[in-house]
Amino acid sequence: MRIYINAFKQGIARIFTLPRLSLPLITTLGLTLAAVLTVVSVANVLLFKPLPDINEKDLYQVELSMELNEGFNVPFFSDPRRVASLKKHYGDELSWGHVSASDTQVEVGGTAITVMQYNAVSGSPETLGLALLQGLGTDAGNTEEGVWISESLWKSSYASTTDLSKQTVRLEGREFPILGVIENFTSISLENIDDQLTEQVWRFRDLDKTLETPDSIAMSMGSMTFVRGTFDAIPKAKDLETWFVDYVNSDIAIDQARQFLLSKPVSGELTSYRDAFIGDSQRLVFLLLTAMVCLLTMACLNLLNMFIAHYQSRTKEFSIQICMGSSVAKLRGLIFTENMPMFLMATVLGLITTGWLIKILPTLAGDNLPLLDQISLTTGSVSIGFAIILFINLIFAAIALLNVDKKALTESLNSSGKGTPAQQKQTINKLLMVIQLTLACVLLTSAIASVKDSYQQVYSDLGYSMPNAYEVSMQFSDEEWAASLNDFEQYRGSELQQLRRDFTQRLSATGGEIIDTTTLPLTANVLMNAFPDPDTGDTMMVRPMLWAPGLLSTFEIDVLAGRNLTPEDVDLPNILITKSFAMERVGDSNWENAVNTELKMGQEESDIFTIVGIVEDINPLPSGTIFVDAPEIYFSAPVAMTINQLSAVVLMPEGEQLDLEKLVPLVKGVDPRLGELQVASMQQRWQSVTQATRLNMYVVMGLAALTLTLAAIGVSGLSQMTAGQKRYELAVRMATGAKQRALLTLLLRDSVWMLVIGLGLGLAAAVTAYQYLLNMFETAPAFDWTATAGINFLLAAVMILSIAIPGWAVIRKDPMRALREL
Amino acid sequence: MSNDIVVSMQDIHKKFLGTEIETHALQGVSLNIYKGEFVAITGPSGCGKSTLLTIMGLLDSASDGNYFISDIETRGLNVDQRTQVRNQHIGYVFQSFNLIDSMTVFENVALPLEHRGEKSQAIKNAVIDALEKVGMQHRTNYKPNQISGGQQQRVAIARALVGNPDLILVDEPTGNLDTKNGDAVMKLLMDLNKQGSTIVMVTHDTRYSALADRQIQLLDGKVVGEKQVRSNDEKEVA
Repeated sequence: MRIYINAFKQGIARIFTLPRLSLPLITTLGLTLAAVLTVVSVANVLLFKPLPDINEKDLYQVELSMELNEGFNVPFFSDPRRVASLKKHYGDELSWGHVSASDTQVEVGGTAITVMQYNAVSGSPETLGLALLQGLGTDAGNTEEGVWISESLWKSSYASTTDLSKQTVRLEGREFPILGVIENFTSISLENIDDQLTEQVWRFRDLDKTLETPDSIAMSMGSMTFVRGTFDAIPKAKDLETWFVDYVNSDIAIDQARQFLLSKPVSGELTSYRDAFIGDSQRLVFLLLTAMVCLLTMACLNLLNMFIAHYQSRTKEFSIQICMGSSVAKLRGLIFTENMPMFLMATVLGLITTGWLIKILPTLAGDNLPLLDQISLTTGSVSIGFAIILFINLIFAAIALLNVDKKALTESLNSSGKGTPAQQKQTINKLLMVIQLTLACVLLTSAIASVKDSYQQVYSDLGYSMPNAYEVSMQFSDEEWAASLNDFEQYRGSELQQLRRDFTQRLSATGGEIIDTTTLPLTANVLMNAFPDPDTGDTMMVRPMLWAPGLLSTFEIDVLAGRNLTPEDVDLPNILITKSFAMERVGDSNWENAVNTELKMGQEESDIFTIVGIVEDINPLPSGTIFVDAPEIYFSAPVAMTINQLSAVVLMPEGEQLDLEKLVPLVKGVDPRLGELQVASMQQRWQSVTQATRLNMYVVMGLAALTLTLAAIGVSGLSQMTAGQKRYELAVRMATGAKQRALLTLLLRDSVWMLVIGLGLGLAAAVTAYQYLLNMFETAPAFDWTATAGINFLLAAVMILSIAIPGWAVIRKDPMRALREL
Repeated sequence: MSNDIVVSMQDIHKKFLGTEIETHALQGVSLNIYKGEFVAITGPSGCGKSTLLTIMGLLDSASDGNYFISDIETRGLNVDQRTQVRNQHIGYVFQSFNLIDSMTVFENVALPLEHRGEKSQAIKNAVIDALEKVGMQHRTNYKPNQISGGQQQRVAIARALVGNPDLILVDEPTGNLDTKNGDAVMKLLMDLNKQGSTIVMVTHDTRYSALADRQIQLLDGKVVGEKQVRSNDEKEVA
């Protein structure tokens, strides 16, 4: 036992006396372990931990997606009436729910609070399995008269009072009684939710009653339909698609709408609630785990090479131990014990870094990962960390003595110290290095494809410039009012026109130049219009933009053919379209011919527009509110558009900011039915829209740099070892007249096969692995041979330098000195 | 086999297979070493002295032939079994000392007993005793690089005798030492032999081989001569 205690003590001493060995081990292993443990912690939560608020058992999300345009799907169940029809069809055996969500402001006792508003059908919380903490159940009837609030809002604004009878909340300009308190609902993933607020207000509609009104013939994003029941009883994808045809035929009264809906491809989908909630994250976690394990393996291979070199220098010591009566197994045990302090230090560093990484995970992952607040360093993760480290230590101890056999014993013990020991075989080292190069090649190929794709998305030509512009807007909070504003817009002097005039006049006091348009080219408020092409019958998706004088010149959107709109066009049905839309209409080669042609957006006279000019496309940015590449149409007046907010663009002089404090009182009195003032600068918008992609790019670049560094360290370590062992031979050659360049070539030739095999295997593995990646992620960028060739060339160059530089350090020495040193 | 025989070798052969040529280092060596003997193996460079010693010390195995040490048949033993026999029955002193630099003198000497799993107090007593025998008890906490070559060799001898082995094998003990230190080491070996240790020493120095009880001469891997200088009885009288 004492001999093991001594070995452990020696291990502690080696941390300080052998920094060349201990520092790389502690830092490399610690940091890569941290990366692995972070991903393990994420995987643990996403794959195994029960969702915190709901009961997942027998709970499924159902959806019927309609493809309106290529790559643009909308959920058919956005109207709860359709869910009610489905419920009726399948009877009472199943319990159904439907929820849509949006941020909104409520008032409690005169204090404004931003909350998450859930509009749901009655019984939804019960179907989800959310606990009712106070008050009535949501399936009790007359639910539309009041609201339910979440536990957090109840605690923060109502001091957890048990008497709800006199409590109210002001919502949408009305005072609602609070009928109950529901557990916070956070296990929900919808496209329109950025921040998951725990202060929540629920409004309910009776699901059965929705059948009393006709179908809305509308579809919108941001809702979710779910059902609880045994898997056999739940409608499957095919059942949903069959039901859809029956429903449209029986419940859609308008012929044109019915034909339109039946002409579109629909696909039913039944997913377990957890899978639907976690979405692509599951595959992302597997991918990350694979990448991290590859990185850990690379780090271990590096360290192992370093350790083998270290152990080779201690062969005599091991031989003496064996000679004195230690078995090889016992010696491995001693090495294991001796290495333990270093490995434990690496574990501690790894665990500390993991804790820190988990803390900053929300910043790193943004909205890309659900359940972020549930992720923590658990006992399980810590145990996995220790198990990994013990396993690696075990492998190191086993491989360390692979070369110590009877031959090594006699050779090393009987050497008198005279002459130079023969160069040791480096088969294992070189094999490890080939594996490492292969892994590096796979990781770098994937990384470079991702980085290139992110870079192109973020820094591509957007089709417009980025001046110091701000989008100032106020939402129409009353839907009926908004509808009437749009209905009467066609009349001169309409209420909407008056509002816009008043709004822009008030904004002019800010000192900026006002452009009377609805949105910035880079906006969060994306409007989409769909219309059937009368000629082909196809549905056309376009993004309507309101033209204003100075709009194109301010944002440097080029007019490519025809002419720009002018103020004289305001009363005329003249429009500008984008080049891609023109190419779609008249062909790629003669797209200019679209000028002065008509665009029919419906059957009515007022739906026919004249294209007077063709402009540059506005390219969508990644991670925008809706990532749809639809062509823009610039209307001279908002007649053909549905305006959902009062907005304008303020162009401030360079270097000046829009003063919000000055702006708020300016626009306060425009109309009480307008929502909160929203101000977004173009730069801020660009920063926020591209944040996730840029972050992803930097993280992957970091990963690639780490991979390259690890590979370089490994190869340079091996080269140093090789050159060190060949010092005598090199020195003798130098002393006998060999030129330095010839010696360098000798060293390179010794390692070049390793490089060729490693890169060759790596390239083959990278191509294969990338095919799997493409199958897993539809959005993954296509395999790029140029980028792959480039990164492999870089890897090869770094490797050659890593071989040459340590070798050169030996070669450049005075040959006699090298000989004397031996 | 007589109880007095510590080592019995019969027709020992050792072949080394190189890439192109085969070297027949030992060609049928047969010999006995008796308890309490001090035997010197001599011969020119390359005659197989060190090879014979490594086989005797179980650091290597013979290609053919039988080898018994303390009545233990060594043919067919695996590496760990040979190691155990070596630990229990053999002490080995190398020409280049082979002390572990990172350990103190005490720890180096204690190694065989540590590997035997002896208790701390027993190890301490035995190590101090062994170091006293070689006159190194005042350097217990020194590291090998802090003492002279002669002192290192004495520590190596202490390590060889600390486990009270049946046989001490000594490979060119004076090869790396000057005359003064070489003489001192030889005197120490002779003293140990007088106290009962069986010693086999490989040397090419005739001055020191003459001090042994018996000389075995090797040439081209064969025993070509044996010379009894004095018997154990004569030694006792002396």
